[in-house]
Amino acid sequence: MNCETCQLKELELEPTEIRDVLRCILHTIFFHRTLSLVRPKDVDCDFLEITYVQCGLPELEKEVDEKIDQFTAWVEKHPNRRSQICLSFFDEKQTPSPKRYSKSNSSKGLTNIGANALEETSTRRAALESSVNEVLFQIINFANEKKDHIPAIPDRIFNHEIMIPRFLGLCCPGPIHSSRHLGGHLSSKLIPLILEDT
Amino acid sequence: MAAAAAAGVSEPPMVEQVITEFFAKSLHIILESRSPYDSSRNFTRPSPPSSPLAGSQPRDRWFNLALRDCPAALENFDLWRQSNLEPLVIDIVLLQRDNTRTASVGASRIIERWVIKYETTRSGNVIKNGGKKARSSSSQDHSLYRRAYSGSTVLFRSLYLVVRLLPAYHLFQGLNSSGRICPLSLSHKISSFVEPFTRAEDAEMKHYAFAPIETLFGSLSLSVSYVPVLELAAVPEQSTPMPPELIKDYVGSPTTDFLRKLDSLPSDGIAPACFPVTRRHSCSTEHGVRPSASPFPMSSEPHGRLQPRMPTDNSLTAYSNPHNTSSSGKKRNTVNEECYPSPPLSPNHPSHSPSSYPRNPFFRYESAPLSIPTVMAGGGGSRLPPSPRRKDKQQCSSQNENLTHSPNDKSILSKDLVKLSEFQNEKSLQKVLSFGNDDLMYFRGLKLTRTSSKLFIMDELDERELVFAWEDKDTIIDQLRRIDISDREDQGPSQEVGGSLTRSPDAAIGILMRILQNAPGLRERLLLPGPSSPVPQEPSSLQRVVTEEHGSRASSSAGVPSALLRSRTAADALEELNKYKEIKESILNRSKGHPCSTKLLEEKPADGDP
Repeated sequence: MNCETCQLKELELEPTEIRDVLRCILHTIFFHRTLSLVRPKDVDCDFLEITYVQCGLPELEKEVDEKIDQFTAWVEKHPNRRSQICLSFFDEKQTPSPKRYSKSNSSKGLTNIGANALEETSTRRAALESSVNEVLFQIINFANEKKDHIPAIPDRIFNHEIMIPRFLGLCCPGPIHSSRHLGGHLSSKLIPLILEDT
Repeated sequence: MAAAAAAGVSEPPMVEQVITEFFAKSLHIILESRSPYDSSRNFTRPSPPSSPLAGSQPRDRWFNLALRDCPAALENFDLWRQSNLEPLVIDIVLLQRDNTRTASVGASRIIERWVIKYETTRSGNVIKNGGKKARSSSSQDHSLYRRAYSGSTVLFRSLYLVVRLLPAYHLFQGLNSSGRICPLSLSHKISSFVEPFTRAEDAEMKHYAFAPIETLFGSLSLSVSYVPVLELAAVPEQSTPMPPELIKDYVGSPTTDFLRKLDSLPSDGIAPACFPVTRRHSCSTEHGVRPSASPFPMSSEPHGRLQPRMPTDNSLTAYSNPHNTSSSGKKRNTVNEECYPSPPLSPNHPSHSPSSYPRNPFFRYESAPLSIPTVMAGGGGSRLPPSPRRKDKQQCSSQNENLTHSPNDKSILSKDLVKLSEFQNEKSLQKVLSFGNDDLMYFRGLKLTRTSSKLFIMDELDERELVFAWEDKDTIIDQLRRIDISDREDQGPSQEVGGSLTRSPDAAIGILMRILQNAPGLRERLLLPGPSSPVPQEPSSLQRVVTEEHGSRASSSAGVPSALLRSRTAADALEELNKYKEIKESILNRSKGHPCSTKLLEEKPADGDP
């Protein structure tokens, strides 16, 4: 199976930062993979000094927000857990089995910030901003370096799927194929919060 | 095209078109987020006929990235762009003005350099899926075109994002959103050669290069060298005038009634007209940002106007970020959205002292509290008879008869009274000052106000202001004499008020004065069982009153009841005036019936008034 996978850097976030950061990363991925005509829309992060770009498609924005809401709800029920979001793009060619030609994963670790960490909020926020910048450049580099597998530019957005953790012990529901591309992250999902660069 | 011809090989026309538009699109994206002065016109120039998309896709929609604004530089791009073989170098320059008042540019620094190049390879690129292909079939050309086009499409997605992740974008945002005059501004320089950096500059720069777009006989590359950290030095902020403020305790005592009333009034209606009404964060068409820290040598005057340097840009119009209006539901940074207020440019606000406030003609800047409502009402118009006009003031002789004090008004005879009058035989000058601390009285068009230590005599017409020390009665007399002399010079025929004092304000005041003049002394009034009857006196009687006061003050002051020390207000004065009217009428009636009793009353004031 021809599938390009991009594993993004793991981020440590507060619950209030999840939405902002997830929207930044997911929309950046979609912006690079929506090759139909778009009128870009600049969006500034609420908590970070980062300006990312959306495609300007209301339906896509709605879908992303819904997924983020589901993810946030899951995080609230499972605090202090590592979790992962998987974004896959599919080719619509009539093949026996669907191909995921590109996939970008964003891994996130969650932690509850104690009272002591509040004193270092600004430092932590600056570090988070730097990390998010790294993630964005990861997406940019991956999108520019890996272009051969991208099919002809369609007149619409590629079929895609945003997978969020729903079941305990299962990272991303879906076909077994997906687990292969997630690598070892399925098993690492339940490990207590450990920050590591992948 | 020329580019391929020079190399001996030539790209397919469609690919050439992609290459040409690649340069244009790069310039568009970069300048859109770096140059705040570019045109906001929507650029919809159609594609050249050679392009497969000719007539179907405006230039701004090339590579499926619709950009609304068209930088002014792009309009002449095709004119000065000779060949695709020439690199396109875009330098983003940070400019600092020497003087905020002039357009002179001080230090400049290249903070970004974008280089777009098309480099040919004589051998040609090996096309995947079959090796080197001959340009024989149009389908192959089309395939090459699609590869270049799709690759460029992805690249420009990344470019669009990268220009917003670099540090210069935040500076651009600040400049674009802030309408303030700032010492810094962004400019750009477009050239076709790469001017090498100095060693120091190169060491400071970071580099990022996008993956090249391969064509049949070359490749398109785009790279950027940028300063990773823009440290902008703190600039001494321009002193801006303070916005109009209401200083509650500036005039007199904070307990002044007028000042309390001002609390309930909107500040807009209170600020004196002569205040510099300037906004702290005023918007203008200038673009600049207040730097926080910088190795740049900063001038002491950070503000001024600066036009960007553009080799082909002759029209400097306001730049509007198209992305702010691209679609609904957008979220914008507070920096971009907020034009009001912007961060304060100057932390050093001018120290504002009360002395710097321009004087409000309605206020009397004295230490002692004043009856300001009376002043604001035009001199107690609601409470006192309006100020008589100067030319209607000749009521001396007839006013003398009725100028008596109310026999029941003990406050008139307080120890603070200063009775001063000067009468002349024909035209008397009645300057009886017998009011308390907060009184406002009118005498022949002169507004008399008294503070605890000073007496103000103002002619409302002339706005002459004579300030007398409270104790210096001789000075008061002299100045009042001068007033009278000047009045007499200007006055026309006198007006007999006499029996018509109730008809005109002048007459009423004259009557009041007369009553006050003829009022018996404090001691006599206290001793009298009933209300004392004011008796018209000769003009000289007031002089005697003043003279006798010198001698009797010391002796009478001890015996003055404390009730006489209560302050008088305009209402009290009016009430007293009414009483005097009644007394006057009664006297007139009595005098008609009993002429002997008037003589007795005339003698009593001479016994020593307080």
